[in-house]
Amino acid sequence: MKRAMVWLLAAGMILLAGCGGAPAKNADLNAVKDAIAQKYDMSEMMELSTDDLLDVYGINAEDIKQYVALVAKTGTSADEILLFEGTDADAAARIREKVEARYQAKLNEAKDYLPDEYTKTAACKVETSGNYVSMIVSADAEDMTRIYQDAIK
Amino acid sequence: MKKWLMILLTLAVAVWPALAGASEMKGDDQVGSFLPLDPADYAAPVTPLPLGLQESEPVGKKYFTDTVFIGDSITLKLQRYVTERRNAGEECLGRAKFLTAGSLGSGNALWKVDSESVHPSYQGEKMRIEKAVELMDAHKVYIMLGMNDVAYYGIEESVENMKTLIGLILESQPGADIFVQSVTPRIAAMTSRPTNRMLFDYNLLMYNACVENGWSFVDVAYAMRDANGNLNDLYCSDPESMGMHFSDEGCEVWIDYLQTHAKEESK
Repeated sequence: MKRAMVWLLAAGMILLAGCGGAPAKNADLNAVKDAIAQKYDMSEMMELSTDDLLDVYGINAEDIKQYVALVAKTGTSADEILLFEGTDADAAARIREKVEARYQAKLNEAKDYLPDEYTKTAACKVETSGNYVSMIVSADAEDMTRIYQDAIK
Repeated sequence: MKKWLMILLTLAVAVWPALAGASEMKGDDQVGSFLPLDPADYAAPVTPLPLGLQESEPVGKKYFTDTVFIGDSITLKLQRYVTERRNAGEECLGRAKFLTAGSLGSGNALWKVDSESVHPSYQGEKMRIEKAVELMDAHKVYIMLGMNDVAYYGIEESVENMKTLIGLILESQPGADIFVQSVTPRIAAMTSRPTNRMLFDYNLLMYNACVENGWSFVDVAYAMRDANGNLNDLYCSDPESMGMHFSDEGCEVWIDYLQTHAKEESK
């Protein structure tokens, strides 16, 4: 019996992991932004409004529980930080689809004329964890992602 | 006597293209008698006066409400600048929208949309420009494309691609007012292709196409260049790399030029 329980538990964990994991915390994404901003210079980044999210990414405000969206002020830097919490799993899936499209567009646009920005973008990725979706494109993405992951898991 | 004749002749050659440019303001009846500008007539990549739309009273925010700005990374910076100002609570170019993508050109805009193409996105969906303009129901279409074209396609083919693209936009959105913005130059230190001479010649031919087709030409490059035809260093945000993208100061000059060089009947 005990052995069966262990197997069931293990199977459940694997299933959860396959669905992007289950974040245990109710993370405050603005606090994540502040923590990143305390460590890194964000003066060349600008925040986007919910109207901008629809225009630029096609993400509806109704799908978003909370978000952080920062893009570079210039047109030649690929730096971009997108952190979303969807209102539910379906909303998170819709957000992920849009963020992935954005990521691919960034790669395409940088590929032939901004090689350094292309390399930077290619080293990053779109991630889902429960209802949270993220894309952190930055030279410091690894550490920024760690700050974000610490907050949501 | 000879000396005076030479001075008069030089003045006439210098001023004529600008006068011809100003003729666009007189209406469609000028098109038939329009004498196309010839790049060979210009020793330096400059004009004494702006081509196309001449200075007007500043327009209000309503003027840009149904407007879309189409462009590459240069216009992307304008988009970011305008977005930042709007999000700070300021009025900036009315409610104009943007269709931009880094490395976009009139050439690759005509390619089919696929996973690797660089078409701009409208509400998150990558699509052909003409389809996006239709979905936006834009009545004024400002386009600045060419920086990513002239070195690759050559000047004449780039002009033809722009004409094709504008034709497709007008098929999708009949009656839209087309405003072609001259492609802005690069700083003096940047001598690689596309050169400022190439961009200037392209602009002259695009100006000719505008007059011939009844489109407006907005000579943004005129406001951005110095006496030698180079981008003013103050307006450049990337002097160490590409020497073509704008600083905030450059964006302010661009916006001011747009607001003070408007089409009378569109106000």
